[in-house]
Amino acid sequence: MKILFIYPSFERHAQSHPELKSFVPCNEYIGPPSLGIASVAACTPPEMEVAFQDDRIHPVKENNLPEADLYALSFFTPAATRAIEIGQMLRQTGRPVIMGGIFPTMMPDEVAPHCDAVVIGEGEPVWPQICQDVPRGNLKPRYQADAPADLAALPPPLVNLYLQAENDSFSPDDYPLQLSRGCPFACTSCVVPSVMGRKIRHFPLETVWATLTEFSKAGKICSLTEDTSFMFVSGARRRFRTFLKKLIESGPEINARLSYIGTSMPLLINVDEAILVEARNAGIGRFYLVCGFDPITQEAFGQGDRNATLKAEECIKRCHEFGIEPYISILVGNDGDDEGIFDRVLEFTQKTKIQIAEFAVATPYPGTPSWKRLLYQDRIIDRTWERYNDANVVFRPAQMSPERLQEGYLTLWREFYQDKQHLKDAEKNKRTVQF
Amino acid sequence: MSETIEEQFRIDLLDILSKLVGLEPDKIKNADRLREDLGLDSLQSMELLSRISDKYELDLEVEDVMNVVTVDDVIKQLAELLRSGKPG
Repeated sequence: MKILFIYPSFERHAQSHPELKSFVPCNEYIGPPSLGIASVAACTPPEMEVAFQDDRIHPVKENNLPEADLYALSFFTPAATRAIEIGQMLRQTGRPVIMGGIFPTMMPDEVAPHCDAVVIGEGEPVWPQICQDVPRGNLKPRYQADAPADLAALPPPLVNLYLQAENDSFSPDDYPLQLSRGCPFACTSCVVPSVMGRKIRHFPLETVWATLTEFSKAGKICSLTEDTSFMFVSGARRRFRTFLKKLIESGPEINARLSYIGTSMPLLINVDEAILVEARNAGIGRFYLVCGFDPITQEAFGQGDRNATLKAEECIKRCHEFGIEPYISILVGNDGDDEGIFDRVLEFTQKTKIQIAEFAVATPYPGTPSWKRLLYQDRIIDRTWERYNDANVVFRPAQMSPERLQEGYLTLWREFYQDKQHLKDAEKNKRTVQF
Repeated sequence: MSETIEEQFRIDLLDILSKLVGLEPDKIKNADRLREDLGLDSLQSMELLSRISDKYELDLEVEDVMNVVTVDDVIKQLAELLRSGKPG
């Protein structure tokens, strides 16, 4: 039996707003697929054949549908519109189509009419059962595990699926590395607790290391996007430090490299400086600083609070002091944001000498507390899922019109990069931006 | 035995706290409340717990520390967890 995993495409910022290409003197970052497919594929019984198609690179076409005995699509909200379209096309083949990932988990009723089975929650625990049920013609409409996946029992993700799919037009420099799943907190814009549970579960260091080594052998850099790594909860910080130590001690034969750690200002501003030193010594050259989700940046940019602004400046200074470049990603449109936010953000980036940044529109992703609240308040104005990509206004903001927010987002891109046209000549990793 | 654990906790905790709030360790009392008396915000409290649990190799959960209010609460709660075999 041949299983084809498909990663449906989604709009990037510059596809939603082509004018960005004229403002931003950088390369578009076309990131790797998320690890979901590779992780589920690794749980496939060995007698079955697995293949992978990245729809962003090799679009699924109605007049040339790929052949397989089972199609499995994994996607998040921005890719849902395209995933549904692909599901409708593939069902013409008469072969079963399965959908899983963040969006199907949060909106199973939305995808169910366009596939034969929906996987709700983590795919790994139920995937072996699906692989048994398909050849027996016994596929059920929904699969949902009784308990979160035991990460210690999972094989390392089948990253070769991704590496083999690379070509001259698509060869990401970095790939994500997952240290854990789940989070006990309930941040308004985050879907992680809803999808992965409120308890942090850790991958064994051996699994993480095997994945890192596989990517390193292919000359790839890995990125870490879990800021739970800095927390005390479930021993996350201790495990993170063990991982950093192993990285520092690893020899040139591994050549393990990390590109960045995703985190936020409140965590960075307080974190023990020993960890910043270890992160730097482990070769981490950049913090991907997500702003607009946390109290410091919401108060600093949204309302111009002086103390919060000083803390935000202090955080950037701290990054510079420890030799780790802050790459900031600023989200605008929170309920606390008035129209002055755009000027305040630009003033802040200028004062702190931020060299590289990306801007995003607040987006209430299904499954987040923010989605539930805005739905309850009847403020969702657009349910076109492909527009849920941080580049479009899909809800009524509290303190400005949707049009003003959209215009402000474009102004940020345009004005921030106005005096940074020299980036055109910078080395590749200094001029690559997610937009 | 338990007094020894708690005393060592106290020394380490005061050392961490003093760095976080900028007070000399001898100015910090057992009855001081982390938020109201020492001025720790929620993220600084989390950092305090992160540093101490890192040092003692404790795998704390949020519910383990939800009712911690004072310096003494932290010492007693963590010492109890250590005695009960909570370390990771």
